[in-house]
Amino acid sequence: MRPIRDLSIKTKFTLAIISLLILMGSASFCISYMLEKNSLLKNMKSHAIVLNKALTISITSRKDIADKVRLQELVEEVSLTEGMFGVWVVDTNQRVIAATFREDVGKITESNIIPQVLEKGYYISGFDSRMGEKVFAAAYPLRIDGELCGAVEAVFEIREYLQTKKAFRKLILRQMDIDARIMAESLSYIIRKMEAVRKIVHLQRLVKKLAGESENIYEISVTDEDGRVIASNIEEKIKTIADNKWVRSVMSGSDLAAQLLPSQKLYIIAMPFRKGERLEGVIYVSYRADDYYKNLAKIFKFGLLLSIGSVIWGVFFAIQLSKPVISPLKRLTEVTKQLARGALEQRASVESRDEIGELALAFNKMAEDLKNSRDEIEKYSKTLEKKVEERTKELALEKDKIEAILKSIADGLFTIDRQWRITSFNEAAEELTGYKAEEVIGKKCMEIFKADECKRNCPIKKSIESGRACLNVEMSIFDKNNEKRAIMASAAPLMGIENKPIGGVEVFKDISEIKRLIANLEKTNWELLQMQEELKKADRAKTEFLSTASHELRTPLTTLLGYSELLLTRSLDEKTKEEFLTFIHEESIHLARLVNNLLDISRIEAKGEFEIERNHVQLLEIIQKNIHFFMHSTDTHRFITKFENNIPPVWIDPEKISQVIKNLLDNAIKYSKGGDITCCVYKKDGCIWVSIEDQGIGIPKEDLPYIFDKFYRGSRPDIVNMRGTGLGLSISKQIVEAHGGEIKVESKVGKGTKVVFNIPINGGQHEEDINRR
Amino acid sequence: MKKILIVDDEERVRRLIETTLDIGDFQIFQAKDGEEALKIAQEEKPALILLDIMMPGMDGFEVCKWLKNNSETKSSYIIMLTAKGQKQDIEKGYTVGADDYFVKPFSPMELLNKVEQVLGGSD
Repeated sequence: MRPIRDLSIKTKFTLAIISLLILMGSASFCISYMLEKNSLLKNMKSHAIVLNKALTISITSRKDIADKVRLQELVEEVSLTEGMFGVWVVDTNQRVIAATFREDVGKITESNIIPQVLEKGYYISGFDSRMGEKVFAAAYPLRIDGELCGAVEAVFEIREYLQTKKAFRKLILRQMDIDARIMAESLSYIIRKMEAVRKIVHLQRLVKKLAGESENIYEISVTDEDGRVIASNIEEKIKTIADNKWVRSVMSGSDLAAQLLPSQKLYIIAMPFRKGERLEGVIYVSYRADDYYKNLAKIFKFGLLLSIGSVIWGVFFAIQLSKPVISPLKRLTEVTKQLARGALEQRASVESRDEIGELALAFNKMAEDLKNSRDEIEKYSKTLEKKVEERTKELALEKDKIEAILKSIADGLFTIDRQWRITSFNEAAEELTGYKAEEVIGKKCMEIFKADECKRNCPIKKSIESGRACLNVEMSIFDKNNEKRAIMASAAPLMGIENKPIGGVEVFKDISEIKRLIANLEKTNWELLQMQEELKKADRAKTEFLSTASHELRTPLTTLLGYSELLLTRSLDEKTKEEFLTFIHEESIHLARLVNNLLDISRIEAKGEFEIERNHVQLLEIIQKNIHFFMHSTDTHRFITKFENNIPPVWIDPEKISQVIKNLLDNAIKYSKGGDITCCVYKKDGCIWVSIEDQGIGIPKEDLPYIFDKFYRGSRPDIVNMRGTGLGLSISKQIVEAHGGEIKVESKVGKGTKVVFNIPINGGQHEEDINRR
Repeated sequence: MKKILIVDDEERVRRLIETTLDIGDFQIFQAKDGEEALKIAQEEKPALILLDIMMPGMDGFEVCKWLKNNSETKSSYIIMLTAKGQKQDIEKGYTVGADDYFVKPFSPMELLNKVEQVLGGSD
């Protein structure tokens, strides 16, 4: 067979009309067929929905009304039993639905036992009170189809029980309990049965009646919530499980399941019926669809006839229509073929004035235009060639220029395409990363630089994604030697046509050095701040010192000036004179020590070191002499000395060490109201150790780290007002250390303070220095 | 006989002042710290108090302030007698209510003259 596109226009045209007609015929047939089919199905469906509604209403309403009346009768009958006080049946809301006393119906039960039974779901019995009378009550849960739907309570009089002697009460109680249980249980059983029987019988009758009303109904079945048929017009089906897909579909939650079964000529609809939200069961209806199929066959026949008629008419009409159109077209086709071969001078003959004639005219005009265009193009293509050549040269120049610019940029620069592949890499970038351009071009930039930041912080990625430049991003990359380099990078997208990014360009410079410098600067700055803080602290201490020193100097001077004036101006007895002179003498010594300390400290301040003049000295003698002196200045302290035998002479500056001893003893007396001051001297590890211990006020823990600082006098306000410059310990430490020794303080507030220092016997490493001098 | 209270933590200084004032017709009391000073001042109501500043516990400024704020003792004439001789110390002394200021070291004769001048007028 020839393919359709090769058929002549005539045939195509004819075929087109024929197929159009067939299409129209079939469409009308289909539409009418569909309309008819749908309306038939719709009829059946609406019938089924009406049926469902009727059934649901009958089932639920009958049950509710019948329940109460018949239950009440049952309850009243049972109440006649001997010893019975009454019977109550309640629903799950504790509302009475049947009771011995009719007036209770509809009220909330006053029983204390029923709420417990409803909550726990099992039998409970016990004493209770009802209408002001003491009773024994037993309640049993009421379940229908396994679901808790209320409770039955049987209540007994207990007059007999109360009259019985205590010994028998237990027996009677037990009997009563059994009776009550049987009563409640059997009542519950009867109610359950009643319910089940009534439900099924009534429904069955209804279903059969409904099925008889229409001869088209083949089956009506009603199932319970588990799919068990509880009523059906086909009686064999009752009590079987309706296990078909429509029922299952409704049970699993859909509101309607319908299907036409052509093989059995049946239309099936399944629908749920509900009480409130709860699915109570399924109504299943199947219709005979004989009528439906009969009607369909009729419509089909009519449609077929209509189609055949229109086809025949269409073929005839098409042939007639195409005849005058085809022959001029054929001729035109011939001329066109010649034209295509290049014979642009060929023209079509114009035979008629209809559309075909016009077509021929237009064709001739087109042939003329074609000829003109060809001449023009030939002329133009010659100039074009020349222009292309010029442009190519210009482009090459421009490219060289750009390359030169890229090369001359001092910062690293690379470009990438949309696949993150590097497309260019300038010399500075080579220098910075250690890679050669030919090594990296064509590779992905993330793989080359291995930077973590490539994932989240990469400026080139950001700029391509946002379409905007991304400037001055600090990040780090790895160079060829796998060394981390801190860089500052800026990137911009490269825009192609339609303003879409075709890649990106990134410029970067190494900022490792700058970063290091900044870090250094910050460190220096911090150190300067620290230093400034120290200086401020020192300045504060100095001001305080000046005020203290002035006070310290004035106090002994007061004694000196005062007593000497008295001695000079008053006539005093010999004893007083001597006493005053002793005062003057002692204060002079104190003043001398003070001045010594001040001079020492100013010397250290000025020179930064301490000069000592050593001699071989008996240390014990110096200590003894000092203790002897201080012993006279106090009568509240007791001095104890513990000196080891054979303490050798030591290589020390006697003046300075004496100053240390004086300072320590002065402190021990000053900071204790009384008690023992113990001085020990012993030899250990090539050193002489001296300790001076008091039983005074001690030093708080927080002050201990600072006690050797110049001018530091502790934080206790009562100490600050005592005499002292805060120099003694500081100078002592300098002296001991200048001798190559160490000094330490141990103290407990309220217990006392112990100061220990040691001095190397041979003078330590300082000995050589001294000899050299 | 006029009553004078000497307050100083240094025993030698108290002794010095006492000896200085011996030749006048005064009854002398001594206190070694602030608390003792307040007690004696309330009991004896001295006409003059010679008050040191730098003492352990309550300092002289506090003692002076307390005395001048107490109706029983505010009539006592208070001379601050102290080694704290800087300008701001003297100013502080007057602020807390001191009547006069004497800087250590001092001449006993001058102190005696001062005391006689202060107490002589009302005698």
